[in-house]
Amino acid sequence: MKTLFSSMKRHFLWILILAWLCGPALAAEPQQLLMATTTSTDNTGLLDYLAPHFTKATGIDIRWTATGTGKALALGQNCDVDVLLVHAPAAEKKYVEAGYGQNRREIMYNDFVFIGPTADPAGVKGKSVAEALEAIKAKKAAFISRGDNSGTHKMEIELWQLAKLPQPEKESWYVSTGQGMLTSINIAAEKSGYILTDRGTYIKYAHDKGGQPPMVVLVEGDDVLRNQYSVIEVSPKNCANAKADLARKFSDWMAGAEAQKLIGDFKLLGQPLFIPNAK
Amino acid sequence: MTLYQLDHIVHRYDKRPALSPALSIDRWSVAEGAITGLCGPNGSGKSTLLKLLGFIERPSQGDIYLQGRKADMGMRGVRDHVSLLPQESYLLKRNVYKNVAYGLRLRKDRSDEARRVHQALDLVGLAPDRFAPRLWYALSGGEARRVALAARLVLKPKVLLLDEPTTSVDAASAQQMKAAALQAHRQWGSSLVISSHDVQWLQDICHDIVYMFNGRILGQGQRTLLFGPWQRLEGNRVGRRLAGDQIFVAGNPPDEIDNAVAAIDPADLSLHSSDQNIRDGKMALKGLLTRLALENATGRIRLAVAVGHTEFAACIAADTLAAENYRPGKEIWIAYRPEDVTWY
Amino acid sequence: MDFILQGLRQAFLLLFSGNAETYSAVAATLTVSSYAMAVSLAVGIPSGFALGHLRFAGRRQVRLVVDTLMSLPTVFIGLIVYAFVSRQGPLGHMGLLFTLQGIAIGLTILALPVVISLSAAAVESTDASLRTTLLSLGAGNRQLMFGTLWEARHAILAGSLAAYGRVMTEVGIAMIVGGNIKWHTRTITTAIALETNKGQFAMGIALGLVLLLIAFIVNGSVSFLRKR
Repeated sequence: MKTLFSSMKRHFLWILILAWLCGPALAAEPQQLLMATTTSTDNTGLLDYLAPHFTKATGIDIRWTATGTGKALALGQNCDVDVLLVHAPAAEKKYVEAGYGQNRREIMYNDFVFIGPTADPAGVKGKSVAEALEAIKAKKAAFISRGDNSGTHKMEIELWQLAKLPQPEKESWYVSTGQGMLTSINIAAEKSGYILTDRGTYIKYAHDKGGQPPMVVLVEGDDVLRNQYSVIEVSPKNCANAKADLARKFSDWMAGAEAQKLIGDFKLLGQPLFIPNAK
Repeated sequence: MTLYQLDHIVHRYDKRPALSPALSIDRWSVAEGAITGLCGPNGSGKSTLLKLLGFIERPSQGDIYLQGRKADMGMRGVRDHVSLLPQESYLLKRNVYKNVAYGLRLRKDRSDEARRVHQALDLVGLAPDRFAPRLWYALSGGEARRVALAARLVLKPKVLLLDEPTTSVDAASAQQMKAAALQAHRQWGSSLVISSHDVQWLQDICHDIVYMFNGRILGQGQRTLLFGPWQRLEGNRVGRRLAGDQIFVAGNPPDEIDNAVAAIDPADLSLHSSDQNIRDGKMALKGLLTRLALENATGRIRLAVAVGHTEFAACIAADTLAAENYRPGKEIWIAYRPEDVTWY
Repeated sequence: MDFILQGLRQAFLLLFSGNAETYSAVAATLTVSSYAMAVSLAVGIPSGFALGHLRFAGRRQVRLVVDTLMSLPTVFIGLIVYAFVSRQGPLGHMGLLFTLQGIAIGLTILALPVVISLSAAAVESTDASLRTTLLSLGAGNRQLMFGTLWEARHAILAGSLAAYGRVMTEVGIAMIVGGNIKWHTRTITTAIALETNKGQFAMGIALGLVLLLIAFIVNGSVSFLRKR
C-alpha cells in the first residue's frame, strides 16, 4: 500500500484525474449541437425518432435536454444551449424581441385538449372552453395544472383569462403539480380530475395504457386551443460561443420536406401526434 | 560523551499556570553508553521525561540536545536511533512477526528481515516458530509487552528508553525483559534509560539512578521521602509521628507545610547499633533493618530501615556491615541533623 | 402493485438482453460515481485524518461545518455547480455543463463532507497509545498518518461506503448539471426519474433493481476484502 503512494505514481494519478475533467474543454466537437426542449416533445418519442435522420442528413450530432419551457428559455438566455424547440408563442416572441433568440420558425402544431375521467363529474363534454372552465369552477371539480411555467401551463393561464375567470391558484380544488406532462396526467387520473394537455402527449398516454386509458378527451376544437411548436436559434449576438451555423442547419432541416414528412408520419394508435406546418 | 543534555525544560499538559508543571528540570545530562535509572512515585514525571527524551512530545519550554546538537520531535530522522518502549504495550492490529518487523519496514531496511525478527523474538524469550504467526489479540499481557520490546530491539537502537518495563507483567516475562535489555547494552552498546518501581533491579544494573518527585529531579542519590501531616514544633521545626514515640523532626520548613514533602539524603543518615553515642545535635530514630543490597556501581551496601511504616534508605561501606554484624531483622538506630532535611 | 413484479421481470430482460440504453446508463453511473469516490477518498481521508488527529485553533468549528455540510440537499449542490459551470458562470469556458465530468464534480462535493467527517471520527476513536507506538518505532509524519489510517481502516471503510451510497443514489445533481441527455448523461437514477415521470413505473422499478445489483456487487467485494 505504501508503494502505491510513492511520489511519482501519486502525481501521475492526479494528472489523470484532472485531465479527465478538462476533456470537454479540450475535445474539439465542431459537429455537436445542444438543444433545450420541452417534456412534451421528448416524452412522445418524436425526437428519438427524428434525431438519427437529422444526423444522417447533416452529419451533426444533436443532443437535447428536456425541461419545462421556462427553464429551456433560461438555458438559451444563459448560453448553455445552441437551439430551442418550444411551444409558447407569446413568450417566444418576447424572447426574440429581447434579443436572446433569432429566426423563430414555426415547425409543427397540435392542439390542446381537456381530458378528464370517463364519468365526467362536471359535465363538460362538448362544451366550449369558457363554458367548461365555468362548469369545473362551479362544481369545484378537481383541476390539475402543470404549474411549471411550461408552454402548456402558459396556455392554461391564458384560457382562464379568456374565460374571464380569476386565476384559481389558491382554490382548494386546484392542484399545481410543478411536473412534466405525463406525470401530471397520471396525477389527474389518480384524483379523477380534469387537465389541459397537448394531444400528442395524450395519444402517447393512451397508447401506453394499451388503448384503454381512464382519461378521455372531453373538450376540443376551439381555435384558441392551437399549440404551435417553433424552433428558435440562440442569438450569437447574446452568446458568442453559440453554434449558430449548426442551429441554422437544424432549423432548415426541421422546416424541410424530409423532416416535415417524417413528422406527419409519426403516429401512435393510428393517429398523428403532430401536424407539420412549416412554411 | 554526553548523550542527552536538558536545558530549562518545563512541560505542562494543562495550560493553566496556577497548576505545577508535569516536569520541571533546570539542567540534566545523561552519559552515553550508560544505563541510567529513573525512580520515583507515580506522577513524578518519569513517563513524561521519557517521552521527551524519545522525541514523542515537544517540551512546553526548554531545549534538549542529543549528542551535542539541538533536537526536536519535528526533525527528520530524530527518532531513527532513539526508541521508546511505552508503559502501555500497544500492538498494531497484525500478527507478531509484522509487529516486530514494522520498524524495519518503516526504515526500508528489510534485508535479512526474517532472521532479524526471529533473533529479536529469541532475545525476549518468545519462540519464533510458535509466536511469529500469532495475532495481536492472542497474547498474554507479558507476551505482548515482550513483543513490543522485540519490535524495538530488532532496530538495534543507539538509545533504548524503557518506561516501567516490568510493571504489571508476570515474573517470567519480567525476567526475560530484564535480560534482553542488558543484552542490548552489552552486545550493541545501547544506552539505556529505564524507569521502574523495581528499585532493586535498577540498583543492580544502573550506573546512575535519578530520583524524581513531582516533576523535579531530586538528585542522584536515593532520598527518603516523608509526607505530612506536619505539626509545628518550637525552634522553626516541624515534626511527624512515625510510630510509637518515634517522631521525625525536620528543620527549615517552608511556609506552606500542609503539602510539603521532606527528603533526607542517605549520605546524611548515620547508622548505629544503639542510641548511646549519638550527639552533635542529631536526632535519633529506632527502626528495624529490613533489607540489604549491593550497590553495583559503588560497591557500597544499601540498607532499608523501617521506622513504623516509613522506610529509610541508608548506605554504608561493606566492611562496616561486616564489622557491625548488621543483618535483616536487627534493631538499628539512624541519626541525622534536622537541618539536613530538604523540602519540596 | 403489480408493477413491482413486472419491474422484477423487466430488470432481468434489460440486463440479459443487453439493452443498450440500460447499459449506457449503467456506464454513466459507474463513471461518475467512480470518479467522485476516487477524488473524495484521496482528498477526504487525509483531511479527515488532519481533522481528527491534529490540535489546532477552531478545530471544533471546522468539525461543525463539515458535519453540517453532510446534510446538503443534492438539488442545492446541483444548483450551485450549475451556477459555476453554466456559460455565464466563472467556469463556463470549460464546457462542463451537461457532461459526465460536470456531474462528477457535483458528486465529489456531495461525498467529501461524508468522507471527511467519518474519517475524522474513525481517527479520533483510535487508541492514544497508537501514536506513541508508531512514533517510537521511528515513524515520520507521513508514516504516522498512513499507520493510523490503516489501524482505523474498518471505520474508514464504513464511512466510504456511506459516501458511496449517497453518490450512487442521488438524482438532483445528475439532473440539473447533467441534463439527463440520452446516451450521454443519463444515469440510472435520472433514467428512473424519467420513467417514473412518464408513468412507466415498471421500468422505474427495473432500473432501480439494476442499481441495487451494482451496489450489492460493490459491497460484496468490499466485504470480501475485509476478511483479509
